[in-house]
Amino acid sequence: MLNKLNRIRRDFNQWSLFTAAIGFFVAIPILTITVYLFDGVGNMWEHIVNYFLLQYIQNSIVLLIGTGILTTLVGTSSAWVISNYNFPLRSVFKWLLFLPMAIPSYIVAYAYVGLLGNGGTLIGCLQTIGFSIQKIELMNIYGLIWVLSFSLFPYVYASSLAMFSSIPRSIRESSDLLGASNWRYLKSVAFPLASPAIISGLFLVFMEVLNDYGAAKYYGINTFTTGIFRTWTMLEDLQSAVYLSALLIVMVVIINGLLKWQRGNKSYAVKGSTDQLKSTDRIDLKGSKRLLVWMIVGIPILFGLLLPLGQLFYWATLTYQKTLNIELLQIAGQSFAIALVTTGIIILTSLALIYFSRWNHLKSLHFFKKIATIGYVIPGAIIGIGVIRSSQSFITFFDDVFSMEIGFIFYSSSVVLIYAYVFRFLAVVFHPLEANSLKVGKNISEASYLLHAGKIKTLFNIELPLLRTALLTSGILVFIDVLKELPLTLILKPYNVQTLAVKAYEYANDERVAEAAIPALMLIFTITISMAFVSYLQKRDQIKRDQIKR
Amino acid sequence: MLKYSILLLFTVSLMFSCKNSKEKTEQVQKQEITLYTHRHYDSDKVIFEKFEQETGIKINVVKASADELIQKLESEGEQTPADLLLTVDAGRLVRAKNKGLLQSVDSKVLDSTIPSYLKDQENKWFGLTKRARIIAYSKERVKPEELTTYEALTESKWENKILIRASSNIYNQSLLASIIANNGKAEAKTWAEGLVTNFARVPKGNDRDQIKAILAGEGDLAVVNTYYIGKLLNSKDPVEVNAANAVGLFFPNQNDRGTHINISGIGVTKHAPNKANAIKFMEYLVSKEVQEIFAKTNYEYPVNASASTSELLRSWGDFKEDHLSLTKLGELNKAAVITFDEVAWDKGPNAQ
Amino acid sequence: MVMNSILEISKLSKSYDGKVKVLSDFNYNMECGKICAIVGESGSGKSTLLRLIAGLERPEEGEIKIAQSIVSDNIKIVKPQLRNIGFVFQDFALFPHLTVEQNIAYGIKDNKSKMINNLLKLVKMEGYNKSYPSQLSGGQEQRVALARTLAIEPKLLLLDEPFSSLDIGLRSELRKEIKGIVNTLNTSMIFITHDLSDAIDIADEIIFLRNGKIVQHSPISELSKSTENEEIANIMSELKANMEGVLKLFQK
Repeated sequence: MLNKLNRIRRDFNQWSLFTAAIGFFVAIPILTITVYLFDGVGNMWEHIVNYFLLQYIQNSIVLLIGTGILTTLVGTSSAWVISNYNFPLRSVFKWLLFLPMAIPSYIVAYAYVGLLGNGGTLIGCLQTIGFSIQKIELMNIYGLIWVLSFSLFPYVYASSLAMFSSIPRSIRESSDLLGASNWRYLKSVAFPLASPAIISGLFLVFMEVLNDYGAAKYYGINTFTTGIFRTWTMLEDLQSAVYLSALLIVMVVIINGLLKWQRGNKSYAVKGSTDQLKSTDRIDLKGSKRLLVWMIVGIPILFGLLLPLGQLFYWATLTYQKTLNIELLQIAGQSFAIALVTTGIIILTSLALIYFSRWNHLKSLHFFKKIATIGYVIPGAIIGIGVIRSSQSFITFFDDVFSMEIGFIFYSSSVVLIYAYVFRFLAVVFHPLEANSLKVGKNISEASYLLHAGKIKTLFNIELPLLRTALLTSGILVFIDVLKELPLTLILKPYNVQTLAVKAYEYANDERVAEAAIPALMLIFTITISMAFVSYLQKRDQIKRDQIKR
Repeated sequence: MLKYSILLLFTVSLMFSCKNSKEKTEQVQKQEITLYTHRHYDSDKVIFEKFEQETGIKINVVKASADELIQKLESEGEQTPADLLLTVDAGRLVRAKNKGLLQSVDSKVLDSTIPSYLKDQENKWFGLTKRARIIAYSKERVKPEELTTYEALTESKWENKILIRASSNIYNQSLLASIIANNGKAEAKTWAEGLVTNFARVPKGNDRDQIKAILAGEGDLAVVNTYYIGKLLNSKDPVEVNAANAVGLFFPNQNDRGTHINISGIGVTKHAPNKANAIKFMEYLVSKEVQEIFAKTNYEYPVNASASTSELLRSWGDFKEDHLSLTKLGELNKAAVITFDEVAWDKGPNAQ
Repeated sequence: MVMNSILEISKLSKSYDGKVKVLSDFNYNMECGKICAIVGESGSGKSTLLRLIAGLERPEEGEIKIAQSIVSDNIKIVKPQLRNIGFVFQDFALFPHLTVEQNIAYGIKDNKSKMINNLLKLVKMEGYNKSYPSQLSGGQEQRVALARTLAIEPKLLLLDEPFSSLDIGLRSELRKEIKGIVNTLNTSMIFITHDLSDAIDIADEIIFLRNGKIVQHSPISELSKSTENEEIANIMSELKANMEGVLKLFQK
């Protein structure tokens, strides 16, 4: 026992302290909410259980299963085709497939009704070519599955594409030499190898589905998230809303458990990954097969990108005179700046959590990593409540103890908003970075220590350079998430801040969907530019590596 | 390492406090008010800009849903920067008042302009504009003579004909609250049940979608707010204009209590830092000139009787309003929500 | 106690997740200038032993002294970067984004270019300064990894299966070179191997490890006697070594 205590003292260092401090600081909102749970359920709880709970659970499960199947199908098939075949316009398709991510789901939901609803644009087109069709009913759970899947599949596509193309050519070649067909290679080598990556992409999809508010509300589907808002605002029962959130978190834990169980303890660190498939290794396609491949990549682009985008452009031509002005450009600038600052802070926080907890030798502190990254599964509204309440206690504390009125710092600057973003989106950067840092391997870092390099020197000279691409990609993902974020921004933004997402929502919520088109398109444009930037950086990286080889 | 981190933290916090204390002093010197609003209309922006030009008082606008704004006010407490809360229904103002977030205002202008049933008895909030919840009917398939009251919508001849949005919509909640107030809780529930039986489909979409569904023949009657029809008629989208032209407006209950109305209203917050300017702004909002802007650009009915309405509003004709105290709507809002749930409103006609 | 011992380990224990004992009550002394081979099946704890000596793992119990000073006990653990130990990983762990030169220079404080050239000469890799690890063969990577670790002038060299990925010709060549280097630099070395011929060729002493315990620790010259030991025979058979072949080799 004494030895054990001695060992804890021995293994405790400043990094243990930092890990705990950062984890605790980031997790304050959820801890605040947890404290709420001790007050018991609210007075409307019975009402919710009687009329809604089953529906919330059922709808959420159906949504998850539906989007899970559809995004996996669409995401992996397109990633497979892109990484394994040569065909005209391949590199264009490769990037177009990322772009549906740039359009917020609720905008896609509105756009689809504009296309296929009563008097819809596409319906009009079909009618003029002779179809007698009134509308395609989308505003039900299947429509929601369709809309969410085609707007979220890039999460699966991105993660499986990365994995498919990082499989070393030696593995591909040995499969070929063993006489395996292409299909067999996919089924028994590539797919199993990529499955952990697919599952992690799928997890992101699930979180987005569970957090969706705008699309589900417009389509009239009761889910946990719409239920939480409803309970909080219409039934005026914050307490029960917190309980619903707790149930939602339980659901997330179950999903996470299922996915982990599915993945097992497999982690396929593929060795020698510097020798990846090159364009010459991809299979050239001709004739009907080429048509098939075009369909596989074309369908997701059509439904996830071209159709919604087309509708938005149509609306934009109707409304641009009113909505396109200098003010909107300023709003775009503000969105950009806030997202950029937030991304930077999130990257720093993720790196600090990953490496501080690694440098600390107490395994028990890994708990803090978990609670710090739980924000991704908590609805924006609930985080908003948590953040407001905890900053309130902070302000009162300063007022009471130092008699300083610091409220204006919180209410007139973006500090609180950015803090809430960090809590909400930390996992988006943290998990891929942690996975990638594990992929780089412990040995590399240890080799550096043994060469007398300290932790900081190792971090900057060895670990970070090897993580560069992962930093960029996860950074861009979170940048996009922040740009698109809605409920938190609505609750926490100070008066002098406006974002494109909020502006688009304001129009759409006010039943002026057409007016939302211009801000939405600007949002999409900004995101596209930033994605193109990453693409350029990655390409430069690749060229450098190729030059080294030669 | 520890030392550096503390130093860094300290510097950062110092920078923040410097920056913000500067802002604070500016705030005190400048003439300004902060407005929390649920309204997202461009007409409001025009009005705010005019006010700023005329008075030199700057308006900081925070837009969010009323519920979120009330939450925000509650947690900000005494240190709130907000002077005014502006919502699109009376219910939320009643709630804010009951939570002690608003204060009484003593203004002769407001008292004399706004009729008593459109404001709070303790002058803690005031109506700015009125919206009527009416029945839009298909000109093709329905004769207006067939329509009488909200209550009559439960008649079996309307089976599979009625379009209305989900229960989460505040205007539906207020309508049901008014029926509870007028007819009692039990009868209101029977009414809601009857209406659900007559639904043409599961409630979904917004008010505009209900009217488009009439054009598409999904149903014959839609319960909607007047100003949405104004917006459809003036839309840039030809589909929306067609939809609006296909319907007629019927103001129900003209022979008894009158058509249900709701307001967009405003109140001064309990801890408003700039009360005097806030009152000045409210008085400005009910002035004849501003009220006419509301009527012309946002198709809302003015509360100021001297203000003329727009041509479009006049074309719909005068109507009798339900003079039920709006405070009542706020008090009964939650009862309305619960009733909606009990009759499975959002599950539509087949669930029963 | 041997006066000039480079490594003293007493009562060392290590388990993972508090359950599986990887190493239990391990005791070992090593003299300066010696080369020790560790033989054992996989999972016998040999890699863990090297990692504990280097400070990459933290023991539950026991004490490790390097050059007469305590580096690890229940009270404190000296960081790996302060132990001055050379370690060559099984996969070499060269920094993939740095050139050969930069890899070697990584641990050098002053006089970089001179030292780099000396080391490259020592491991016979002159002219590869600007190459990247991905452009090298296994044997070349091995040499660079060795040069990189020698750059810190380690008191003790630890090699985890250094020869396993090399073909036979290269293997005997490289191990002779390594022995030469250890002797010239007057340092000490522990290495893990699967192959007794590695041990016989260059080691001064040999340890047979099984289930985290020493089965036998003897000078290499007494290896022939150990064939009578049943447990060693077991280890050998698990390693698929032909005992008779080994004995023949030994008699040469």
